[in-house]
Parts: sequence; C-alpha cells; structure tokens
Amino acid sequence: MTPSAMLSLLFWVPLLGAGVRIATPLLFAGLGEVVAERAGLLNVGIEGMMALGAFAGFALAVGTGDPWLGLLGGALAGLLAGLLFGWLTVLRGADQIVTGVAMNILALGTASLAYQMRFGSSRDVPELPALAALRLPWLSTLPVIGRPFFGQTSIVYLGYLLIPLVWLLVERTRWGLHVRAAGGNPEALDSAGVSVWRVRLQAIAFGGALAGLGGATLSVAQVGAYVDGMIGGRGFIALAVTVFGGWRAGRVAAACLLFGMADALQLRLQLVGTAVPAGLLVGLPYLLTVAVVTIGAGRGGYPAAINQPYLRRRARRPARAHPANAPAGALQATHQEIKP
Amino acid sequence: MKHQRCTRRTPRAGLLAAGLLALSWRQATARDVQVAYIPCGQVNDGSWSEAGYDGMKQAKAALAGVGIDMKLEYSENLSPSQAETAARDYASRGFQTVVLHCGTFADAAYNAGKSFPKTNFLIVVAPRSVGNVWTYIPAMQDISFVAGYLAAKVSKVSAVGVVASFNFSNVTWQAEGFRLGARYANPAIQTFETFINSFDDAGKAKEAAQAEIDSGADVIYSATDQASRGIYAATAAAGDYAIASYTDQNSLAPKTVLASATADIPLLVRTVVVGSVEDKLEPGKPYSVGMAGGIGALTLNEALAKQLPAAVASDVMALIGKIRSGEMRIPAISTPGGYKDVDLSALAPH
Repeated sequence: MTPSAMLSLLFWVPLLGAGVRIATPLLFAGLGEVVAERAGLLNVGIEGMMALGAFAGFALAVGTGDPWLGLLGGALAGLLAGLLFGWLTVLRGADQIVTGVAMNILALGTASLAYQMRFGSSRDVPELPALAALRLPWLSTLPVIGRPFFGQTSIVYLGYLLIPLVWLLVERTRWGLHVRAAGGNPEALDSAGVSVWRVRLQAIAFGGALAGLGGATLSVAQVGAYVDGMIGGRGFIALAVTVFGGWRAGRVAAACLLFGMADALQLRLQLVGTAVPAGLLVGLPYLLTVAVVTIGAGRGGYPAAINQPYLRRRARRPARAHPANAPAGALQATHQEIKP
Repeated sequence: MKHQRCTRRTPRAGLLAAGLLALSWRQATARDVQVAYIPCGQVNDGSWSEAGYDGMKQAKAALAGVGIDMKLEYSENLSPSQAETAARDYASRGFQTVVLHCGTFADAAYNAGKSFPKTNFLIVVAPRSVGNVWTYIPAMQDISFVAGYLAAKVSKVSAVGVVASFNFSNVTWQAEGFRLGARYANPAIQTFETFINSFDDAGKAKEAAQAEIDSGADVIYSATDQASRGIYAATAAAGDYAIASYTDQNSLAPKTVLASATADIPLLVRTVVVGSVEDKLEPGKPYSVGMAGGIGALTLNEALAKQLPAAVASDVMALIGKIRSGEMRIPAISTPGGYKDVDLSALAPH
C-alpha cells in the first residue's frame, strides 16, 4: 500500500468504521462520566471500573453463554464500583482524585486477581465469539457512512441510543436538574429539600455502570476474550473526552469519534508507509489527549462544585419540597449558576 | 532423682546432636540460592512471560537435582523504572541472580548491575554482556522467517501482515523476519507491519489486524503477547488465518490459528539461570540462540493444516531443516522495512 491509497474511499470508509468501533467503549465511559461530573464527582477511577466490567462481563458471558448477560454483568460490576467510590467520596468526604487513583489500583488488582482465580492462565481463557455485525436496513446502504455507522454490532447502536437519552436525562428532566444542581450549587439543591448525597450517589452509580459496560464492550462484544491490561488507558481517554466534550452528551460522542478516528488513522498510516516514525503515529491518540485536555483546561467550565464534598449530614427538608418553601430563588439560581 | 534426670536429658541431648549433625550435613551437601524473575507481564499470560517462568521452574528442578535449593520469587507487570527498583531490591536482599525477562528492562539491568556487583543480572535481548550482566537472546527471526514463508505459501491474495507489540530489538527482528520469509517464498508478495505499543491491548491488536485485512492481507502473524487474542478475533471474523508466536496457541482459536511459531524460551532461560547459579557463564558472552540451537519450532494446527496442499508442508519442513542445520542464516533486522534490503540469494538457494 502506498500513500496514494489515502486518496481512495477504500481507505477512508473502513477507517471510519474502525473509528466507530474504537470509539464505542470510550462513548459508554464518557457518557457515564458526563453524568458523574455534572453531579460534582470527578471519577478518575474509570480505568479500573472498565477493567472490572471487562472481566465480570466476560466471565458471566462465558458462564451463561449469553453475551448480553455478560454486558449486563459488566455494567453491574461497574455500578458496584461506582457506589464504592460514592460511599468514600460522597458519604465519607474523601478527596475524589485520591479516591479515584485508589479505585484504579483496587479495581485493576481485583480484576487481575479474579482473572487468575477464575482462569489461571490465559491459555485457559476460552474463546467467546464476538458479537456479529447487524446491518440496519436502508441505513447501512447509505453511501460512505452507511457501512461504517450502520453495519456495526448491536452494542454500537445501544451507544447511539444513549447519546440523546443521556442528553435528555441531564438537560431536560427533573432528575437532571438535580444532578446539575448537585455539581453546580449543592447548597441550593439542599435548600430545596433534595438530598445532595442521594443525587450524587445515583449519578456515580450511573457513571460506574456505563464505565463497566464500556469495559465489557471491549472484552465481550469486540475481542471475545479477557486479557489482563486490555483496557490500555481508555479510562483516562474517557476522562479527557468528557472535558473536551464540555460535559455535553453530543459533544462527548463527537470527541469519542475523533479519538477513535485518530487511532484508526495511525494504524493505517503505518501501513501506507509514511515518513512519520511508527512510534510517533502510535502516540497520536495520546498526543491528542494531551492537546484537548490543555485546550479544555484553558476554557475552564468544570462544574462549580466538582471535587468538593458536601458534608452536611442530612439535607434539611422543608415541610414539602414545594418551590414556595425553598429559599427565594434557590432553584432559579441553580438554573443560572450551573454551567449552561 | 539425679539418675532419672540424666536419663531424661540423654534423649534430648541426643536429639539435639542429631539435629545439629543433620543440619551440618545438609549445609555440606546443599546450598540455598535466591533467584528473582521480573517479566514484562504476568507469569500466567500464556505467552512470553509464562514461557520465561516455565524456564525458571525448569531451572529450579534442574538445580534441585544437583543439590541446590533455588528459592524463586517474581514481580509482574512492572514498568522499566519499577523493574529497576525491584531488581535493586532483590539484589539488596541477597539474591544471587535476578532475571529480567523483558527487552525494555535493559537499562534497569545495567544500572542495577553496576550497584550490586555480587548479584548476577540476566537480561533478555540487550546489546551486550558486561561484568555481572549477561544477555540471553532467543533469535526469533529464525522461526518468524519460517512463519512468513508459510504465510506466503497459503496466502490466496499474495498479501500478508504482522502485528507486533513494540518496535524494538527482538520484536522487530520477529516482524522483519516474517516479512523476509514471506518475500523469500514469493518475491512479489505484499507485506504489512503494524506496531501497537502494547503487549496486552487486545482491542488495539484487533483493529491493527483489521486494518491489515482491510488493506488486503489474508494471513496475519502475531508478534505480541496476550494482545494476540484480538488478532485471532479479527482473522476469525474475516475467515482468514493467523499465526501465533512464542507458545503453542493453536487451541486458543482453533478455527483461525493455522500454526504457532514457538520458541523454546524455557530451555534458554533454564540454561542461563543454571549457568548463572553454578557460576558457569562466560564473562562478556551474549547467549544468543536460534533454531540451530534448539530455539524455535513450528507447530501446525493439524485440523487446518489438512486443508493445505501437501507441497506446502513439505516445503516448510525442508526450510526448517536448512535453518536448523545452519545452511541458511537469517539476519536480525532492527529497522522496520529493512527486509527489503536483504539479498535473497545470499540467504541460500531455494
């Protein structure tokens, strides 16, 4: 293959499909992190939660013979890990960054230990048929984008569905309002009689479940095997895309696709024989991570109460959580103060 | 009463004397040696790190046969800087030999070797043996050449590929050896090479293999460790062949792994560890062993091999014979793409 191959659609169409596949685990983890961070919880432990989900999902899929049960099990493992993170940071007031790092060590170690106990050696890890592609009628026949976007496995379509669902959940529902208030102005939420703790725990459980699902997507749906260390930094990339995507579901999805495309591109550039050294090409997605985090840091915009424990023991409940009982303008202020 | 006391003490004194005698006899006939093993990954990875660990266990058994009790400890999944810390820790605890079974740990071995002259450091695939640091090198380019030859013979589209972990030393020798072998079988063949910078990222390995398949390859060689599972997933989905390396992985994905280019890493590790413990390693000598020295064999997946033309198997066996006998010498190519510069006629006549 020569560099002139890049002028052909035969180069770009499969690349787009690969970008979508690579982006899918990132998408799940990133969407989960959107909800967690909007509630004020910076979950640095995504990597470990993905590893737990990857192992639990694979073990369950092997045990039951049902990949969908495996994916569900992966999400459940992530949810439990998320609740542990929530217990430490929300209820015990632990620092979120330190707890996230500790969660990574704990979860990666737990996944590794469980793997050794369950399978012993990778020679004993059975082969699980990866999910078959499901071509959506009509859509998959669209020129250029048809096969890459609509000739994928079912789990990819679940990812597509989650993008508007998470957006609706966060931006257009009462629970989403509480989530945004928990991350933007928890005092106002508390004053309105809503438990900040409960909302944050729900948000991190959701985020953990999606991180676990992201890991299980990799092991169950894409590779069909669990390998220790297979998450390979995707959890940290998910953190970066959340920032780059401005904590908005649609933008985070676009950022995931950008990362997926960058990774797919570097793999293909190695084949066309460019003058760029392979080592530099392999590092392309990570260089992109550094770049977008730098850009994101410059823009600011983190939820105001992120990484700040809300240590009030119990939310003071008014007689009823009626707007008339809330301090003047509390929830209205929440609307204005939290990041649009 | 005194007499009774004496009779009580006599058996105790006898037991004590017997115990001391047994202890002194054991010290005279056996010695304890502490040996540490620091691989790239995990000792149960079913590939590179496990092969080295098997060699450590073989060395322990071999040394037990000559009255040496080898205490074995290991540290897994370390970065190069962590590996140096671990190596220094083992040396400071009095370990006689520290085995660093990962090419990226070369600096760790040389640095620790300078600080702890009484400990022997064995490092796989490093530039040189110096002082108390010895390098041992499985010349994987030999069996990779055979894998490339086989791949070219079975490819229906004259395009094959290799997915490798890192672009460094013996991994590059492997990848380039594969490409050279494919070119030797079919000078017009197209070969692809991708580095994924990981031993474990099976997802990335799958996409790397898929990229090569999308580019036309129909046989993919794995020069990675556990990440190879991703390669098998890609070739299985495409109905293509994969060739494994290091250990026999034919049963891991029996519908797609055509053969395994195995290396008797355990034999090499056992040899150098036993030599180190018995102080028989030659100063400054790198221990590089290829197929001629028993490192490297091809294990065919019989179920898939039945589908191949009989001539392919016989050609491959003939090639293996030439390399084992030393009639053919496969160069170690350290530069990606360097296989193109090799004069095929200089290797050996077909």
